[in-house]
Amino acid sequence: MAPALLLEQAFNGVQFGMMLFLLAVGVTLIFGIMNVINLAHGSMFMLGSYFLMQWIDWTNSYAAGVVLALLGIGVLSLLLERTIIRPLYRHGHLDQVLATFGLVLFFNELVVVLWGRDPLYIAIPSILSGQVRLFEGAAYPAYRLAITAVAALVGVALYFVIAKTRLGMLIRAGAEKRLVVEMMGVDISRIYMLIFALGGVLAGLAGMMTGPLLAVHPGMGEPILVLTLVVVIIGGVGSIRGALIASLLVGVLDTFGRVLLPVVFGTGTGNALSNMTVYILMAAILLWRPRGLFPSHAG
Amino acid sequence: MYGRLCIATFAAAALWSGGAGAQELRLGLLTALSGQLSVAGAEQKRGFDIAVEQLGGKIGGLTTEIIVADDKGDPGEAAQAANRLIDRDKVQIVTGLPFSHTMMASVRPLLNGGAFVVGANAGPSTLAGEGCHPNLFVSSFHNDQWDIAVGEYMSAKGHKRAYFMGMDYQAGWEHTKAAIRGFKGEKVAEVYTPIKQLDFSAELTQLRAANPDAVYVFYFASSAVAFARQYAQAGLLGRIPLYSMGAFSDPTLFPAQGDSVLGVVMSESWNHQLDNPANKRFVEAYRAKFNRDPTGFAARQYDAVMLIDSAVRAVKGNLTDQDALRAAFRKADYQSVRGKFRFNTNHFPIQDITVEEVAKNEKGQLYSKLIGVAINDQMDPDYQKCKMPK
Repeated sequence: MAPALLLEQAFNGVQFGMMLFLLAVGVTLIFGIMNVINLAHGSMFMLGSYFLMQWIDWTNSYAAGVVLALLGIGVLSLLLERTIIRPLYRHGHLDQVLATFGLVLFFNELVVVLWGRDPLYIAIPSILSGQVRLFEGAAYPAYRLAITAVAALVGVALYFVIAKTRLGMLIRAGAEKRLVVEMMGVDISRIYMLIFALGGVLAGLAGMMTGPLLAVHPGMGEPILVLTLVVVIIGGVGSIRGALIASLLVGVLDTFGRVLLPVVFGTGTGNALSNMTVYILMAAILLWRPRGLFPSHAG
Repeated sequence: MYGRLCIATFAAAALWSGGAGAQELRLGLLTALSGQLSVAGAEQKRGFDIAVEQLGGKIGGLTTEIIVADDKGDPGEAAQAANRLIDRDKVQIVTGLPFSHTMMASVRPLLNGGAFVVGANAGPSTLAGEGCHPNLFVSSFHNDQWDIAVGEYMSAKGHKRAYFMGMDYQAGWEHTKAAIRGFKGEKVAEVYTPIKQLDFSAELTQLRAANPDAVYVFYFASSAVAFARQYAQAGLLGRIPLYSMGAFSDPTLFPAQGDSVLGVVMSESWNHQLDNPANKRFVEAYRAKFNRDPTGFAARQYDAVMLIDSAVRAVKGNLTDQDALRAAFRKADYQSVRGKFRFNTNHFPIQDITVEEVAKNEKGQLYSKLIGVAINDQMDPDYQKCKMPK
């Protein structure tokens, strides 16, 4: 394969990886720090898309749509934390899985009731609708470049918050030793609320950015949630660095697997294998490091 | 104790009367009403409802009990729903069955349970060949029918090198391979993607690098929306002509696909512009109710109900005489929205295959413009493999 083509596929892999990263941050923090398994994370992804579509429709402005949709997801996340998630802290993981799976079903049906079953449309802002000539012969969609850049910026900002601020210090401490943080007199429930809302907003942002690429439809969050859980397991629960590295690993590996394996092994076997690559990677990493690449010491 | 006995007696009486009431039709509609593929199932339901309305709720002149079952677009759910239709609901005829993979899972339980099955969309090749069954009628199409035509059409348009892509399941393989068979030029690549995949960045990068003259794809519902938009975003729309089959772009998907499907050429066995009285009646009723053009899913389901109506009417509502009912189905003595229609010996259609193009009308709205008939009276390639018992 030509080097230019390889490079372009690498871009595709990184773009996919960064979307996974935005989702994985929330899952890994919510599980690592709050010890809550939240399957409804995929619903925030889906609702991000729907909110954006609706706000653009009402305001006729992409920028306003993004801001209002993010606010909407944030408020919804806070409400969810307050009403559904908080009573679950003292319950086991099975109860959490059942309750949050119930939320998934609820939101899917809600979306059908409000917007119908047919896939819907989010227009790409016109300045991003063209292609960018990366190098000779590769016209890359401008929109994909833009969302990769946004995701990277969010990653950097997140790193800054976690590494350099007092809040970040509390989050890190919470991930390592939750009890000690509480004993130091920190109101951990406020940190929980913040983390849950942050996770929801990032998932919603991923949904908003992916919506114009894919189809906006009920249940669009589930397939990506499964991959997100894989990313979190590979990266090590509770670790943002782990989530970043695992996301990029999964994104790039999945992309190249889909392209190269059918060439090497023929269509049938190659396709079967390319569907498995990510899970083989997960199994291999778990054999080598049973708690993921960067395990935190919580729980 | 006495009360329970009473309830049991009443229940038994109710069951008995349900089973023996020969002058009532128990009709099952098995389709996908939830899940990623439910866009198609919801359309089938709309076509079904219009047909039932036009027949005044009495199919074949009989009081009709309609049981709607959701297969969720999933083979496991489809098999369960099929068993419920037989065991609990005691249906005599089942229609719907929108997708090949769910149909393969549900058709045996239904036929073994003694029901007649009228497939209104999917047309898997196995059921047309060795797997044919005296009580199975597929009134829609054989998976290969449309795509042989579009493959030939691509050759006729002078394309020499074509790139083929489809969804990685039975219908995807059959439709795509049929297009390859119809196409006379060079096959550059044959790529299959998982049913649930919606991001085609890697595949589109490969496609652009291969630089073919034309592209054929088999995608429908959400995946067709995602593919079309990403094809346009990659700058390929208008540069490399895109071909597909009718479900790739239709009025349920136009709002989400927008201009990204303009100029896509597709093969079908029906178009809303087909000029015959049955089609006019259907299209007008649909437009009046839903305020847009119908899709092929709705048209085929409407047609299937009209076929069932004709067969039940022909046997004067006597559903216990299965041989007579089968003979009536074989005749297909009804006005199809496709115009000409008859069944082959394997109970799959012999029909005209049309070609259509997504275009804009004077109001700037997308519609499927009928280009013409590509193949007249097309038979499927498998009918000789079917040893239909007399």
